[in-house]
Amino acid sequence: MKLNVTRRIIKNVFIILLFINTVLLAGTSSPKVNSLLEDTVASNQQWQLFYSDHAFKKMYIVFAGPYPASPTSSFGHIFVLLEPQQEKPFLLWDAIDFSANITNIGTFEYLSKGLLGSLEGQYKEISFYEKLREYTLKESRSLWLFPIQLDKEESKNFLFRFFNLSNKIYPYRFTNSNCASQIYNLIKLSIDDSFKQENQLVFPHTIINGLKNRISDPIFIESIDNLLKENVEKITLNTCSSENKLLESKNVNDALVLNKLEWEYSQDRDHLTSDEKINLQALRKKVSLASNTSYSNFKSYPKEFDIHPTTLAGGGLQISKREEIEYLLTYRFGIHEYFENCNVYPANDYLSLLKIELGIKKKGIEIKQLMLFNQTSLQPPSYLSNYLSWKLGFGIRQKDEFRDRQLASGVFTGLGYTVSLYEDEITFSLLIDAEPVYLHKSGFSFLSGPEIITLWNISDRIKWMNCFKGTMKNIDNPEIYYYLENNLGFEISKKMMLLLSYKHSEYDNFYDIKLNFYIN
Amino acid sequence: MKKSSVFLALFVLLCLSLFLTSCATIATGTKQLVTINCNVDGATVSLDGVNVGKTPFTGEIKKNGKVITIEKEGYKTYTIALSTSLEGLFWGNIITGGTLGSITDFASGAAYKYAPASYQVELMAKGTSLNNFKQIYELKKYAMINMSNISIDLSKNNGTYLESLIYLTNMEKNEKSIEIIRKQLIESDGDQVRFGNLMVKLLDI
Repeated sequence: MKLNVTRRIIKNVFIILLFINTVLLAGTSSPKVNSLLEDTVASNQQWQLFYSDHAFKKMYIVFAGPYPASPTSSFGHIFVLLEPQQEKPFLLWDAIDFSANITNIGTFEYLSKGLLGSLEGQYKEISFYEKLREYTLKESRSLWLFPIQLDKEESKNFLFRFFNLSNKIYPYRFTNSNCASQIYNLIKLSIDDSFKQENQLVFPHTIINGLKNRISDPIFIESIDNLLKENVEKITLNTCSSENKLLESKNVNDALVLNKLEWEYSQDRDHLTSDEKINLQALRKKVSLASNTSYSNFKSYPKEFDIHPTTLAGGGLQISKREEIEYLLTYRFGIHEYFENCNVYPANDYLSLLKIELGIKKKGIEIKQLMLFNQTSLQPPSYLSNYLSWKLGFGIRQKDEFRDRQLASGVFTGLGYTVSLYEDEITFSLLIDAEPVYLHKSGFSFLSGPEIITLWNISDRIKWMNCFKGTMKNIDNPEIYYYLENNLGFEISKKMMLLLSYKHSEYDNFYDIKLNFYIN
Repeated sequence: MKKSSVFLALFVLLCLSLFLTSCATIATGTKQLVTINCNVDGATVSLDGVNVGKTPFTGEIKKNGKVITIEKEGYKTYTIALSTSLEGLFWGNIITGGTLGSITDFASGAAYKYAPASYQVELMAKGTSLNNFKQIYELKKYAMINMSNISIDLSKNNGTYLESLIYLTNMEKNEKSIEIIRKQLIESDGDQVRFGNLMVKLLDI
């Protein structure tokens, strides 16, 4: 028995290592990121012209929050904003970012090339109003602007390097040659010539941490989604008031419809019909003639950037009716999970890149979970969008619903819809799961079935999650299993969490108690 | 066919649907209705060397076209490299690099998208100063792209979008300037192209 368990672990670990190795090899086979130091300026005169046009007073690192509709945007985005020396409205300031050129490539080509590092990346300069439109309007993402302290020489260094690099192509790789790493390299090299570029995994929000000695408190810019919601509340408040207030509500409503139309047309529309064009034009005229409207189409204010470290470790106990006591060990590297508190990522989007859970018994060590990637998006409908809920994960999971607690290796997906109550404090999600997996005792299986997830933010520090899952194993000769899981999470401090779980299947009941810590 | 094969096929479709939700325009056909406006009426529009019409142009063009050329005597010829899908993908944090060209150098002109499948091309008259061209381009582009937000700011007599427009027109930030812009917006009938052109007239270049 002991030998079988050990073999199973060795086999699983081997599969995972093979996968990691493949990804790493693919990564290193692509061209190495060129050194930001190696090129010299082609023309001094051009540089002088560029410098007089771009010299800046202050620099901001801008963090764009995740875009719930796109899995690859879940990490956020980083770019730089330059406040010019001469007075200029901030919408017209220059933004600099590093992004991939995906013109003429398809989605799957983009994904594979992005993982391998064979996309072409380039530093680009663009007006801030265009970036604002792209993020806050088109993708409903909020922005954090962090002022960064650079002296005159460092600012000049930054522009000098950007000037040198702006027309060159660099490999773009999701993991370590992305918007965040390249902007970070550019800033660090401007501060310190001896800085060595690191080819490690970089998340956009880790840049903020990497530059924490230089940056001050951020300014937050609301996404269009939040602004529309706020304006709807204004209308509702005024509806039962005086005549002036009613007129004001009408004006706010017209502006709101105009803003909403603008959002709709900024999505991937082919074209506007002539009726839509006429409506839009008439509304622009009407709104511009209204007086003293209190509609807010832009909002910025100081806001704390509350984010937890990406690495988490923990330990605990599992007690069950049929099995002996098991000691649990957890390691998570990634972004964010349900029981964690943070105001940067959407409350109902969870993402981990590597999660390992081991169970230690007298019999030996068991893998409970070894997920290389696991993302779940349970967004309730917002003012503008009806998001689909979905999950996608790759790796190995112990299936407690089966009598023999088999390990399943493969792909774990689900698609469904979420509704919410009390301003999204309670959400109910129904997902239809589809999991093509290799079960270690029964071979290849296709597991499918419904999953109902209830999430409840009881308070800022206490969260509850309930999950009911029905699983059909094999389609030709189906076997049905059900499984119920209840989890309660307490944030003991900013660095520590207590998790209590009760899991029930037809064959056993499990009680878990776990304590998780963040590792900086 | 075995039941499991049918379910496997459904599973693959499910996975695909997760990743393809944002690229609907790719699958809508081989042609797309496009509007190309230009600062000069009557400029010739060619797709891969074949004349397809004159500006202002509205018509269907092939999605697999490679290059659109806009030319007019007395102006520098402007060429735009097309992306396969015209609308491009908006996957992740990526800027597509402009579908019909987001041009940062002004060697022969510039183009930008201001509404769904609607593009504005600015041709550069031979002998025009680069500074003047750039000033006109920046003002017109800003006014056209942000017209709805400018309307909203006008209803408040204040706001970041209006403030930037006043700056680009070289006017003073006061009530008089706001009234001038409001008047122009009404005169434009809410149309972006007309509003852009009216704003350029305020520059007096």
